Amino acid sequence: MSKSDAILQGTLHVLILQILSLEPMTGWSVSARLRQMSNETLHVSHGSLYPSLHKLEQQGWITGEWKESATGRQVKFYSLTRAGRAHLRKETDSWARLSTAVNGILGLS
Amino acid sequence: MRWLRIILLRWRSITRQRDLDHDLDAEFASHVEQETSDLIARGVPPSEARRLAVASLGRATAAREECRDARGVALWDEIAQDLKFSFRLFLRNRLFSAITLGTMALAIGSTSAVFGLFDAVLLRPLPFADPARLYDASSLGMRGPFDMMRANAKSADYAAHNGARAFNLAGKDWPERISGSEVSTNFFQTLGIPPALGRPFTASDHRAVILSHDLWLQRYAANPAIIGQSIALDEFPHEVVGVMPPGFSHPSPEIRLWTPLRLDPAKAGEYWGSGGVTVFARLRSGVSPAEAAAELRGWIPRIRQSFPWRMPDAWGADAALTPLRDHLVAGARLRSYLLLGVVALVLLIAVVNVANLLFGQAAARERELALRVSLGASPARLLRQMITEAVALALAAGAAGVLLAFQQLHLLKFVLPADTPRLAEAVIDLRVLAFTALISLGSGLLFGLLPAWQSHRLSRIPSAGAPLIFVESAFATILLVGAGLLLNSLWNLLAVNPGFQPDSIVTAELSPSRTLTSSALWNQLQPNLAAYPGVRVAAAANTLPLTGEFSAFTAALEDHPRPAKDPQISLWHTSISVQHLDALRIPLLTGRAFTSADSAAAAPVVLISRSTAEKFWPGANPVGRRLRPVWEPKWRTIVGVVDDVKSFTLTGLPAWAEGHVYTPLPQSVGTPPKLGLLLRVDGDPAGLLKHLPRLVNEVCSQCAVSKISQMETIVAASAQASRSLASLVAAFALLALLLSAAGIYGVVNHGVLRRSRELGIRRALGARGTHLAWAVLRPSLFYSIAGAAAGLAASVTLSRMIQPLLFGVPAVDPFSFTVAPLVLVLAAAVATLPPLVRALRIDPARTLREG
Repeated sequence: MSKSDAILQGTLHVLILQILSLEPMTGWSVSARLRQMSNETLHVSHGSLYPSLHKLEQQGWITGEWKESATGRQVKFYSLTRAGRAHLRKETDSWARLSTAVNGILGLS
Repeated sequence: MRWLRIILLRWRSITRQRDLDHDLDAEFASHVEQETSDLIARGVPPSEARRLAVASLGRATAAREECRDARGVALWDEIAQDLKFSFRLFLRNRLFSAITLGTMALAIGSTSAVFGLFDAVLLRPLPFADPARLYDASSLGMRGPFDMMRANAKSADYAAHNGARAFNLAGKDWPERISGSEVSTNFFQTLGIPPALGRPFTASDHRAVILSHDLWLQRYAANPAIIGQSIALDEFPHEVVGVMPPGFSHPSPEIRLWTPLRLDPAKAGEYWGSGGVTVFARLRSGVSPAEAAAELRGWIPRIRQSFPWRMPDAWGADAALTPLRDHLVAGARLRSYLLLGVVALVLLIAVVNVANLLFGQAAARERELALRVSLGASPARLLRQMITEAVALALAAGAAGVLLAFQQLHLLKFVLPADTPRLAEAVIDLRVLAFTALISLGSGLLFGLLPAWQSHRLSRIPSAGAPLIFVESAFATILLVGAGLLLNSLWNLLAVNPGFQPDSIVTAELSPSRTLTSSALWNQLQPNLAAYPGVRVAAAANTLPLTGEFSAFTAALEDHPRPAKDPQISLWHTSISVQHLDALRIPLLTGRAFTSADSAAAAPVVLISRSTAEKFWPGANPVGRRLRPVWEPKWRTIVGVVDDVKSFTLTGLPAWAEGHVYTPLPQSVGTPPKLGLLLRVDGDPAGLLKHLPRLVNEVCSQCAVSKISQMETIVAASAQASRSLASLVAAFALLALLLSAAGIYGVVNHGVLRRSRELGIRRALGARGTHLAWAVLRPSLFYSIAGAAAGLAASVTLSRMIQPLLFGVPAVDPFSFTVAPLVLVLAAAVATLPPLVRALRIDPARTLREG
């Protein structure tokens, strides 16, 4: 795992929460959305996506539920819990503060 | 909410692991499917699409493991693995494991039971309202001083009781003797416990009674209509004004009713002298103990001057307020600490033994552990395994210990004297269970960390047994010394000559009636009792010897005036019938005994004991000298001297009693509220024991008999406190000795097993058997002797602390301090024998073949 990947690991959780804050979706949809939203910059191995999802579930930020999909199969839909929503807000705020500060130092703004 | 969810999820991930693994597979499958159809939609050929989709998951098994880790499964898996593994190891070493677990359970059980006792006696607040504000003020001690404080104190409310005494409660056929207490009318309010039914006493109550819950249930079928009714108590009608809640029996467990305490200044002897009471106080709100004590001390000079006779200047100098709880349990404090200390040492020895067992396992697993380290197990992981094992073992032992604790507390209550304060309050409850859980966990961590710490330093393993032998020997020696001291003390106590012959004497207590005073009753009863077949002598006294009852008065001796600044003379007082000396076979040394001519109307006479004569009239004949209670004008003449008798306890009179005086029953100092009967009989007393109540009833239908017993039983009971303490400590010392011997055996045996190759080679090279034996024996012998020496050194300090419990034994008692270490070293040597024999039987040829 490269160093930039490691940074990504830390932020991956926030990104997942952000994606799930829009609507409940399956693991696969989360990965597809991740790819889409970041213009393919953030290529998350699906292998590392699922452990993250499970970790978030264990933390109580998100909850998984088995439902029937459009194609009639049983798939697991993840959605944000109330605690997860609060957590996301907190993380977003601190991310904003951090990036403002880092941008300031790097002379980007 | 979130935490609840997390806990539920964790729980699910442990209990429903299979389902969740299945879910995970299903989730992966649906991912592959969606990815495949997505790829196909983007134009990838179907066969290729599926391969790419599977590949996009990465290494599936790795991802799956990571997901399981994310669920927190790994930790539980590992712990379950550890437990399974250690369980198998324990099974391999079945006998030793069972013994270790058993002793551990026994030690935890004993510690919990004794803690239950300790908690009830010393730690729990008294079962009264706001008990921290209750203080003992028994230095006041008499009705007059109490009455003055009650009426005048501003900082505290003073209340009093006169202990326990027997009342004649009228029954259907004949009265029953019931224990009750006379209490000041503010007694219940001061304790803050109102009656469950009715009302407390008021200042105007005179002939009133409050019943205990027990008495109300048993005698009055819990009828609430009893309130307001009249019951006959000592033949006077008393109005029942209240019933106390269940469990309330202050000031002593046998109390079943309360009546108002008489505070009559006109009865000067009772009010200022013989009618002693126990005084306590409740601080008013906002008052500190120091302020209340200062007020009390301020009143002392005024109270002293209010006495109708001159009190010594020193009277009241010791007046103080001590927390009521400390005062009530004072007699049991040292015993409780001693017992807790003893079981704590036994527990520590058991812990060391278990540490040794686990340590042996760790050593046996050296190779396994090394292999696991080389395969990548972290040291933290191995440490966790050892601690898991230890804690599991400790909790199992703790669970078994709890079951034992119930039994042991039962046993303790049975063995300990019934008058141990607050004994009835001792229970195994949540507090005690929490304590048990704590010590189980604590000892688990202790015996888990010890070997783990040792195996961390692998090079030190061979010497690990030595500190163990040392520690166990030291602890066991301390306990053996303690047991030796207490047994020696008990031996001295049992060897005490009570000064009378207790064999073949039937005893009983009797309450006289209103119309028949003690002496008149005795005059009528004596011929009937003496005529009963088998009775040789029938005698009576105000108190029976060795029952621990107080009977004393403040005296003036005609030729020994005390300066006012000195404490007055207190004399122990026994009021006896003419036959008393004969019945107990107390020798008359000089002068004459009492005769029937010494009546109430005759000139007052007394007998004194030998040591009283020696103290006040050394070398002179005391016959003809005179003494009197301080409140009486008339002198009483000494007519004879009798040999010393242990009247109060086997250890003698209380320290404050300066002598022992006998008065004839008709001339008793104060009217005896009861009679103790002493009947010397020939042969089997069973018939007499049965017929005694009827014999008494024929003479006096209103008189009640109780406590029918035998003098030998009373003598044995008077040593009960010492006997129970000595036997408990001795039993625990024996247990400690066995545990240490087992521990030493384990260490040495393990050493021989490990060194069998070395010993075999030395044998093959021609080493003599004695040399090898010495090589095995030396370290264990050395460390057990060193441990015994350390134990003796600690015992010098510890035995001084229990000195107040000893009788006729110096704190550093040569007997205990010699025998204890000898017994220990002997036990250590015996424990070393089996491994020694094994060492000598090692076959050098086989060692060389296998080597």
